[in-house]
Amino acid sequence: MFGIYNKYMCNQSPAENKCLSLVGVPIGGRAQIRSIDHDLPGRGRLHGLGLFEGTVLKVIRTDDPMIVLALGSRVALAHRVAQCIEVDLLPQSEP
Amino acid sequence: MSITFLPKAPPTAPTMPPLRTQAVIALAGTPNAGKTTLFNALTGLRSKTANFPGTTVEIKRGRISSAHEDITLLDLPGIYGLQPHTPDEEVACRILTQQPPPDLILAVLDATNLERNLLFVSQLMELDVPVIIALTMMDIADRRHLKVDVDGLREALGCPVIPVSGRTGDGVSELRNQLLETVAREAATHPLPCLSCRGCPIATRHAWSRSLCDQCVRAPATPSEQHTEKLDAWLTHPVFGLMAFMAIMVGIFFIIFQLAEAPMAWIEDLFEASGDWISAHMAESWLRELIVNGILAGVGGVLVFLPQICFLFFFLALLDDTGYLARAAVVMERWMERIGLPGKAFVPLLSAHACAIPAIMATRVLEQPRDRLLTILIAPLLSCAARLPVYIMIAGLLVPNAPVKAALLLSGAYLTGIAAALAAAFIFRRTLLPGEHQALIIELPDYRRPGFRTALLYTIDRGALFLRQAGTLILLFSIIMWFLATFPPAPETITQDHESTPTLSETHDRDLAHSYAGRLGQFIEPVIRPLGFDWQIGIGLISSFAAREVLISTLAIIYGMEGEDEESESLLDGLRQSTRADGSAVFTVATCMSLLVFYILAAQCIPTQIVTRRETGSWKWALLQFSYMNVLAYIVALLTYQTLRVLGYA
Repeated sequence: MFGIYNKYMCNQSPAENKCLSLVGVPIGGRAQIRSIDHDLPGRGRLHGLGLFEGTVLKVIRTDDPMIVLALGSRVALAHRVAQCIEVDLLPQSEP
Repeated sequence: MSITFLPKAPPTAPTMPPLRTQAVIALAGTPNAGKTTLFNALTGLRSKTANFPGTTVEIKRGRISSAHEDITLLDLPGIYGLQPHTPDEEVACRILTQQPPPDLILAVLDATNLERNLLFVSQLMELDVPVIIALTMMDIADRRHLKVDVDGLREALGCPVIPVSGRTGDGVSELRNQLLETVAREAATHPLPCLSCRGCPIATRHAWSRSLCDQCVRAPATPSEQHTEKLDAWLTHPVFGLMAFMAIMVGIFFIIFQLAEAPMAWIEDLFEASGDWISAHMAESWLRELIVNGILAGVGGVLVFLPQICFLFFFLALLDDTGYLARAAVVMERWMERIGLPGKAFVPLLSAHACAIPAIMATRVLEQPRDRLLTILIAPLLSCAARLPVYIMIAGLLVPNAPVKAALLLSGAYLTGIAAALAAAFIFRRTLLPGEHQALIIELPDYRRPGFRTALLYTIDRGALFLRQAGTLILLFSIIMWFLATFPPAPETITQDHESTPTLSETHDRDLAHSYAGRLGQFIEPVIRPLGFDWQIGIGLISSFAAREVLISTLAIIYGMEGEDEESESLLDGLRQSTRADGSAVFTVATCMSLLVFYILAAQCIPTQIVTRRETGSWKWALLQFSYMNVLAYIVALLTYQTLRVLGYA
């Protein structure tokens, strides 16, 4: 039952467990990219579209493909890709 | 299995040699930045599309002329950076980084999204080439209350920055003057300090673009994105998005067929009138026969579809310009991934309903070679415009004077093609081309009003390309088919064996039976007989390898209705009344259905195989495409005919 949950979560202690896969971010949620899997075939394309370590995203749609807003652009991502993007969830009020 | 991809220029081949005789400006930018609109505004109709040497990637070249300079402007495929992911991007990057480089790079930047666009500019400015920046979408930036400090940007970048609007023409003449001036005085480059040498290149570039935007762009505290978000909530919705997609596509096809009807009739009338005029003013000779029944009949048969193809490209260009096509790819991804196709493949597959050739070329948007190959292999199964006249002819034979039934039959034919393509993709993905398709990563540009001028120029360009590519080859095949169906002439002795004077139709039948085409038809008859086809239909099948629609003119010639309008009642009446030697009807329900199924599934278009070979770089894929489609067509037509025969429809 917790398999899917564990797949999306990083190996961190419960206290600092804000790091998760992009798929786990809810609609309207904001997150900052912590890392992108180096083996991901579309990694270069993500960089070109402004999705790289440090980019702040807003999730617009969560179904597959999901839609995020990054550097002023909307980008649609298959869940297979989003699962390889590790993010830190940001509070709603943070700019 | 190793997959060959787009053929590249051999290492020794010169890159774009003809361009170096005059100054060259490369127009570079991210997709959807307004590059092509600006290119059209700068060059007007003085442009042409040509393949990049050694590849099938098309580059548009235009000219900017002045009293002293004649400059070539290259409209490069959209790129997000200098690391290419598709064949198109590879060519764009090669042009920008090749030796010698372009004389100038005109970088097109979307003013509404400067932070990301400047990431790309930072890479361009590291090249040892002068750069001029055209700032597009300024009107949209204004509407969003984005204030761009153009002077500040110019100062910070150390190169000319000119706000322009390709649609209204604002700033275009200033930009043109700046281009001419910069090329004339061979301006020095303004390279940035190498950002990629300072630790992580991406982070450094981003920090640079962020600081530049902080300095030069004033954005409102709350960005206004409600318009796009509201539309996206519907158009990318799993259910409503699919319904909207279907409605848009059905609407477009309906409009295409409605609008194309009149110009198609004009073209048909023009060729018919030309044939009549030549027949009336030229003495009877083999040359007259060649012109009227070979060239005009064959070429006219293809040109008649030009309006449909042009309308399809026009509407696709408009849809693309609105930003909708990217949303459609998102909607289709959900369904197409289940059979192993990427969502992006839907655009080429959609184009295949006009013609498989541009569809195969459009697969270059796919990043993964396997996805591209899979899409190329199945694209010809989708019913192209050339099949439509054959479907209409068979519908006329099967359900005369019943428009609703005929419409259902045509819809069924199109759906059969789609089902066969999806089934083939499913099987290929699990056998020859295993593995997951490239997961979707696509930018969804802002919705905007489409530019009719850009769509029109694109349509003219595509139409001209279709004429060049299809028309020349069809002309050749038409001449060959006419030769095969005319020579050798039947010996006089055969004609004189008859007690009474033979009718024109009988003479024609005997001449045809004696011709090379007739002999070929009789040679293949044992193979096609189980499908319900006789040797005359066999000639039609063979002639269809030039172009499918040639079947109709071939049947008209074979059944002695030369010179008649192929789709007229006289043709259908003639076909309905045609009988075999034993007196039984040729075009029974079983034969018609078998013929219909065969034409839906068969690979009969040699130009398609030639383009497949060019795009995949190997004959083996072209041969595979040709073989699997024809074997499939044969088997399904056989099953159809034999089943209907058992049921008493033969």
